[in-house]
Amino acid sequence: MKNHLKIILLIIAGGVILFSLTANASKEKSELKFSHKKHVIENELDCASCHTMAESSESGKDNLMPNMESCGSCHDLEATDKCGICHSDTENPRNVPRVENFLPGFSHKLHFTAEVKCNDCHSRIEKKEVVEPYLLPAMEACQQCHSDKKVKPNSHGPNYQHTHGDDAKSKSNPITASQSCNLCHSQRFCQYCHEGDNLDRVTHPLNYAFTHSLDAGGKERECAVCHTERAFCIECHAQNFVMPHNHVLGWAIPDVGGTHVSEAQNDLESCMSCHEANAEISCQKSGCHIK
Amino acid sequence: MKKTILFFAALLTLLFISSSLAQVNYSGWWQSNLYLWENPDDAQYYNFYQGLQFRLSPQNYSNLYLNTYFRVAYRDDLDEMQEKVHNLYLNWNLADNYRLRVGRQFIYQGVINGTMDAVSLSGRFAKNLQLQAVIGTEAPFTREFELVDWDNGNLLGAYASYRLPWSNSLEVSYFQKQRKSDSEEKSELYWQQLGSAFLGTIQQKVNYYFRMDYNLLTESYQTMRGRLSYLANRWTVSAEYNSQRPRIYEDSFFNIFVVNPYNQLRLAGNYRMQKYEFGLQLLQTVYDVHAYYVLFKDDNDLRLVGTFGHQKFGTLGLVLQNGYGGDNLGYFADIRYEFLPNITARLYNSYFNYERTSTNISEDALAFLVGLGYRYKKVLLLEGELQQSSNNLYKNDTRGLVKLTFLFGN
Repeated sequence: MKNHLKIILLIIAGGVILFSLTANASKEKSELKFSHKKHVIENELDCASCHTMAESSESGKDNLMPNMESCGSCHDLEATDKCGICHSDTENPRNVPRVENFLPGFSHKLHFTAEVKCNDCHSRIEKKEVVEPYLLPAMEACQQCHSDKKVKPNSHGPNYQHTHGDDAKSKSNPITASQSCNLCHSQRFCQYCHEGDNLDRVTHPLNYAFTHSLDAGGKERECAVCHTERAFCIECHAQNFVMPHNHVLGWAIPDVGGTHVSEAQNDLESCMSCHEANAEISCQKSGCHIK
Repeated sequence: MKKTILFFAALLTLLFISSSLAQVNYSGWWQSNLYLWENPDDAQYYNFYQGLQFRLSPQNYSNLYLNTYFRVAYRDDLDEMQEKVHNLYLNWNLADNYRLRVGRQFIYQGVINGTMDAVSLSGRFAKNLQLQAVIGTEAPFTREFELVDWDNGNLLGAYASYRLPWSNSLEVSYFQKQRKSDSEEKSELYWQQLGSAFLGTIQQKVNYYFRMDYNLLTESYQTMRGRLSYLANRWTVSAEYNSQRPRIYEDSFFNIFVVNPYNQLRLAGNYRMQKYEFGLQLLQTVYDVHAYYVLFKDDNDLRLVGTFGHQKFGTLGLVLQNGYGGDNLGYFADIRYEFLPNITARLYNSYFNYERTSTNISEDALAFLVGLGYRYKKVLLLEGELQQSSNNLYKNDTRGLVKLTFLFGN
């Protein structure tokens, strides 16, 4: 067991070291020498001057990078000796790498309509003097803004707590990844309720301890999704003497037997599921099954 | 126990040091709860527990991150802690198409396989083919920070998803679990399931999902499920058919009560009108009851749930149930309202009158909750609740809850 723990600790320590290494290793240099600062701050150009399609774009798949023609509307592209203004490798000039698979469902238009400004998401981009990859907003920025402004997807209405199960099942699939729950929520979000301790009765409503048998019988909820171990139930049922429905009058009659005899003969394991630990007390010391 | 606390303390320290030295992004929360109540026997009880969850990833490289959710509880004894590590894993999205995840994680592919201490690798190995493989041991059900021996519970599984034309997809999965019981020398299979699903969407409005799971050990189907839903701007309508045999675990509480296979039909509809939302759900369950086990008055159960919600104020609901488990009639109201900036009031009230078929005794359950929440900027959330309930066991059960949440991140 100790060896296993050591392995886990080693893996996690390795992960943290890996973080440190990759943090710097992931930065790449671009061949382009473009300065946002020079264009936006010093020459007071709007973002839309170059990114002309951004305001009307409704999909993250759209290519919103300016092309050479956009540059040509201000710069003299005919003067070939001036390639070096933008390109560090004038022998082999290349475009900015295309951004792919970045939130296909994202709509710039929707955000512009809601009066979100460019640098609300692309923060401090106007001060950048070099072209770097990863000038795209991080997920945390989206989550922060949507959380602060209480902007939720249309589906997340007031009844969503009762209806989210359908979405969770169907949208976890890659074909609808753009609507997937894990676009915003990590697994821990689900586990807070679905695998929580319910120590403060947040997960289930108040009084649920007294009404849950109807749910268990009526199958609205699958208890076994979370509670897979019998120890979870036995502790409470044993303390409160809540017994299976067949433990009714006539179940155990001293010196005669009762209906439990045939049940036990049919399925002793069923009895054992509760009475394994206390069989000696319940069967022998009660005066019935004395050795 | 000390080992776990020390480990997480060290991890947190490492987190803050590394964030300043190595450009690390981190976010999460730390929560302290104190829950107090007095039982009718005048004995006072408390739960005190703390939760920590965070996600840690290098700046500019969010493909690699460490994720955890960890809780410690003290129940009426400050000297006795109960630890629970719900998840603790390292996730690495290798290139664009592959993902490696190592550590305690929740395994779900159509069927819940539970929390595992496992290694899972998934990837898009061809343009339309995604594969995933999992190997690991079952996490202790107490969620303690230790590993279960391989023979005492292990899982092997694989999952494949193939993308078909017109936004359709076909899935196949295989999962097996082995465990050694006290009387056995070697671990044996107790769970072996083959699953398949066909699902798709039409113009992002119609979703369909058909699934079947086959139990190779009992050589019978475990689950058959079909669901069709329509999502319009204001309307959501869904119909679902579910036929299921109980998933009887070796250590399941289903061994205690008789649980029958059942067939279920669920119809649900939601309608949104500006800030209002109306919902209706009808659930009909028909049990495959063996005559030997007829303990209830009927072999079917009908449940009707109606809800009315307002985006700003909360939800009101009505529940009507009749049949197999018993009769139930009740309502619930869950109201939340931000009456001052950053201060939210919460009011919960429910009343249920129910009669279990087995007892034929009509019982009432009444619950009431009033609470206040205060949010200080983006870092602190203080909540207090007073809860009161009465039911067939307790005429008056009053409880107090104080919850402090600290949100951190850079």
